[in-house]
Amino acid sequence: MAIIDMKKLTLVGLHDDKHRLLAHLMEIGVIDIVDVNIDEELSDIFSKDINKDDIIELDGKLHNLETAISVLKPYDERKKPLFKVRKDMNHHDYMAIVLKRHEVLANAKNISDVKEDLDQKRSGINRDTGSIVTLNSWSALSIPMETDTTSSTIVTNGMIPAAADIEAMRVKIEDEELACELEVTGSDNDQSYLTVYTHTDDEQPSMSILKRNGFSVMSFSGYQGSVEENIISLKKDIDNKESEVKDIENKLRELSINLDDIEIVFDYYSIRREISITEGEVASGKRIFFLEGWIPAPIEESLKNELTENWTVDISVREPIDGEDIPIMVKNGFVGDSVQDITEMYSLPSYQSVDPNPVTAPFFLLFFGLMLSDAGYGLVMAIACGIIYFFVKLEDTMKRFMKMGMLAGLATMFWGALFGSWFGNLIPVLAGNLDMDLSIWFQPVLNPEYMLMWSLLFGVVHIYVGLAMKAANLIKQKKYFDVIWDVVTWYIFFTGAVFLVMPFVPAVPASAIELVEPYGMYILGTGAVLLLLTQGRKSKNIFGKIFGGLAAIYDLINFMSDVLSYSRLLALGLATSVIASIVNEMGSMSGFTFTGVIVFILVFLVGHTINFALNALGAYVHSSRLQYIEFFNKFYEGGGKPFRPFRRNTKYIRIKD
Amino acid sequence: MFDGNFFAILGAALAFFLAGAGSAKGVSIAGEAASGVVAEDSDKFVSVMIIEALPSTQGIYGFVIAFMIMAAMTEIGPGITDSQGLTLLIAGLPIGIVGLFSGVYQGRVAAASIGIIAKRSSDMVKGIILTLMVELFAIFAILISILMVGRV
Repeated sequence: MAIIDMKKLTLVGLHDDKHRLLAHLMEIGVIDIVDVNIDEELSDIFSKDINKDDIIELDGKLHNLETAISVLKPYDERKKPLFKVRKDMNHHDYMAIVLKRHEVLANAKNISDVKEDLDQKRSGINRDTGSIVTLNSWSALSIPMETDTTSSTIVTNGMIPAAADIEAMRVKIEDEELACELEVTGSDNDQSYLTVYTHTDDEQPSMSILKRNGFSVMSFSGYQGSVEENIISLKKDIDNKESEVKDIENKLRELSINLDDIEIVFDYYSIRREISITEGEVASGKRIFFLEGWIPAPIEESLKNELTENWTVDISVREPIDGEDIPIMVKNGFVGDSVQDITEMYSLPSYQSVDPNPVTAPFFLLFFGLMLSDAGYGLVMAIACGIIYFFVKLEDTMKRFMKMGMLAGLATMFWGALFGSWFGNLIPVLAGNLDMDLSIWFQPVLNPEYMLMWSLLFGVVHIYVGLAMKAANLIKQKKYFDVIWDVVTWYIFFTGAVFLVMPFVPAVPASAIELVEPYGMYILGTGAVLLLLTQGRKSKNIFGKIFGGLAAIYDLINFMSDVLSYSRLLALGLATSVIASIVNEMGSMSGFTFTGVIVFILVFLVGHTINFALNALGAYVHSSRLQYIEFFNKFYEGGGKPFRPFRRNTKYIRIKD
Repeated sequence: MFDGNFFAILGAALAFFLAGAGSAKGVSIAGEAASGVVAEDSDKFVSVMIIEALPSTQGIYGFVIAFMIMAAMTEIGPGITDSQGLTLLIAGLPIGIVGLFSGVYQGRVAAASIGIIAKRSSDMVKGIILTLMVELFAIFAILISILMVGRV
C-alpha cells in the first residue's frame, strides 16, 4: 500500500560470534547493512577489516566459473524452461557440492583451457583454408616450391597486375641482352602469376624492369615439394583438425553435466564475496564489533526478540533523522503491485513522498486497454498471461510482469466490449452483415470526434489525480498550507481553462457548454490572480516574486499540451481496430469455399498476430509514457535508493533450509 | 480523368506512401544502429528491437488513413464529386507529410537511443521516452487526418 517505514538499527555483538552472526543475518536477510562511520573518539578501539585481497581472489574465482558456465551453456542439451527460475535446493545437498568446490574450480579452469584449445584449432583451420586458396593460384608451378637458387640461377616467384604487358617486358629483356626467362604459371582476373629465372649476374637489372611493371615477390618459405603435395597435406591437416574439433566439442558436451555444480559453486563464492564486503562495513574491535543498518519498521520487535534470545548482542533501534539516505521498500496490493517495475524503471519514489503505484496501476491498465481496445486480443492476452501467472514457476519480477499482462488483458477486454470490437469486425464479417453493431457504448471508428473528446477528458482526469497526488505528498510532509497554494490554485486555474476551451473541442454536447462556458473566464481569472500572488512567494527579491507568478501562468500552455497528448488514446485505439478489420476483410475475400476457409484461417492467424504484437507494444510504451511525462511530472519525487537487505543474492539456486 | 474518384485515390496513396516511406527510412536508420549493438552483445536484442520498432508507427498511421479514405469513398458511392475527392486528397496530406518527416527523424532519435542501450541497458526506458517525443507529432497528424476525413 505504501512506502514501508524504515528504522535504523545498531547492533553490538561479541567478536568471536562475528562470522556466525553475519552468516545468520544473511540467512534471515532483512537488514540493509550500511558502511558504518567510526567516530573519532572510537577510532582507537574499532577499525574496519576491509579485506581487499580476499575480494580480489574471490572475483578471480567467480570470473573463472562464469567463463566456464558461458562455455558450457551452448553444449548443454537438456531441455530448458521457457522462463528462467533459480533452482530450489536444500541445505544438505548444497553443502555436499560446496565441499568439493576445489575440484569444481579445477574443473572450470580445465574447461577454459579446453575452450582455448578449441579456439586455436578453429583458427588453425581458417589459416589452412586461406593457404589453400593462395596455393590454388600456383597449381601450375612446375618446380618444387622450395627452389630459389641454383649455382648460377636465381628463381623468383611473384605476382604482376593482370594489366601489365608481359610480352613487352620480354622484348625489353631481350633488348638489354639479359639472361632472364619469364614463365607465366597462372592468371586470374586481378593478376598474373610469374616464375622468373635469371642468371645471378643479371638479377638486378631484370628485377628492376619487372618491379617497374608492378611485380611483387611471393615467398614460399616453409613449403617443401610440389604445390599439389602441399595442398594435399593442408587438406589432410584440416581434416585432422576438424575431427579434433569434433572430439573437443563432444568432450564439452560431456562436461556440460558439470554445469549445475559449477553454477552452485558460483553462487557459493558470490555469497562469500557478499560476506567479505559486508565484513568491511562493520566496525571491529578486540572483543566486540558493531554494525548499523536499516530495517523495515514492522519487523522491529520480532527481529529484536529473535536476536537477543539466541545471541549475546545489544540492539538499539531509532527513527531516521532528516537528511539521512533512507532506503525505499514499497509494498502494494494485488493490482498496485503489477506496475511496480514500470514505476521503478522511471525512478524509485523518495522516502518523503507517497507511493504512486496504487494510483498509477488503474490508469496504466485502463490506458493500455484503451489503446489496444479489442476484446478478442484482450481475452487471448488475459488467458495466456493468466495461465503462466498461476501455473508456471517464475521469479518475482517475471511474475509481476505476467500479472500486469493478465490485468492489462482484462482492461483491453473491457474497452473492446464497450466498443464492440472482437478481433476487429470478425463477427459482422462472418455473419455477412457489416453494419452489425456489437458495441455496448459506441464505435469509435464511426464517431472518432466523440472518442477524441473522451480521450481528452480522461487526460484531464489523469492530470487532476496527479495534482491530488501532489497534495498527498505535501500532506505527508506536513506542509498543509502549500496544499492550498500549490494544488488548489492550479485546480481553479486549470478548471477555468477547461471550461473556456470546451466549445473548441469537437463533439462536446451544447448543453454542457452552455452550462459552464460563461463561468470559465471568471474561474480562470481567479486562478490566475491566485497564482500570480502565490507562485513567487519562495523568491527572496521582489522581481523573483513577480516573475515567479508570471512564469506559473505560462504553465497553462504545458497543461494544454499535456491534455492534447492524450489524443493518442484515440489514435492508437483506432489503428488497432482499423487494421484488424482490414485483416478480416482480406481473409474473407476468397468467399465461403474450402480454399476460402483455409485462406481465411491463415490470414486471420498471421494478420492478427502481427497487429496484436505491434499494437500491444505501442500500447505498453505509450501508456508508460503517459505515466512518466504527463502524470509523474505533476507530483513525483523520485531518486529513492532501493532497500537492499544483506542476504544471499544468488543467480542460479535458492537455498532452502 | 481528373475526377473526384481520382483525387480521393491519390489522397489515400499519398497518405500511405509518404508515411510508409518515412517509417521505412526511420526503421532502417534505427535498424543499422541496432545491428551494431547486437553484433557486440546479442543479449541486448530484445531491448534494441523494441526501440527499432518505434518509428514503424507512421507507416501504420498512413495505412489507417488510406483505408479510411477508401472507406469514405465507398460510403459516398460512385457519385463522388470533384470537391469531395479533393477534400479527401487534402485530408490525406497531414499524415502523409508529417509521417514522412517524423518517421525519418524519429529513426534518428531511435538510433541515438540505441546508443544509450549499448552503454547502459538499464536506461532503456529513457531511450524509449526520448524516441516517443517525436511520435507525438505523427499522432497529431493522424488525428487531424481522421477528423478531416470525417468532415467529408
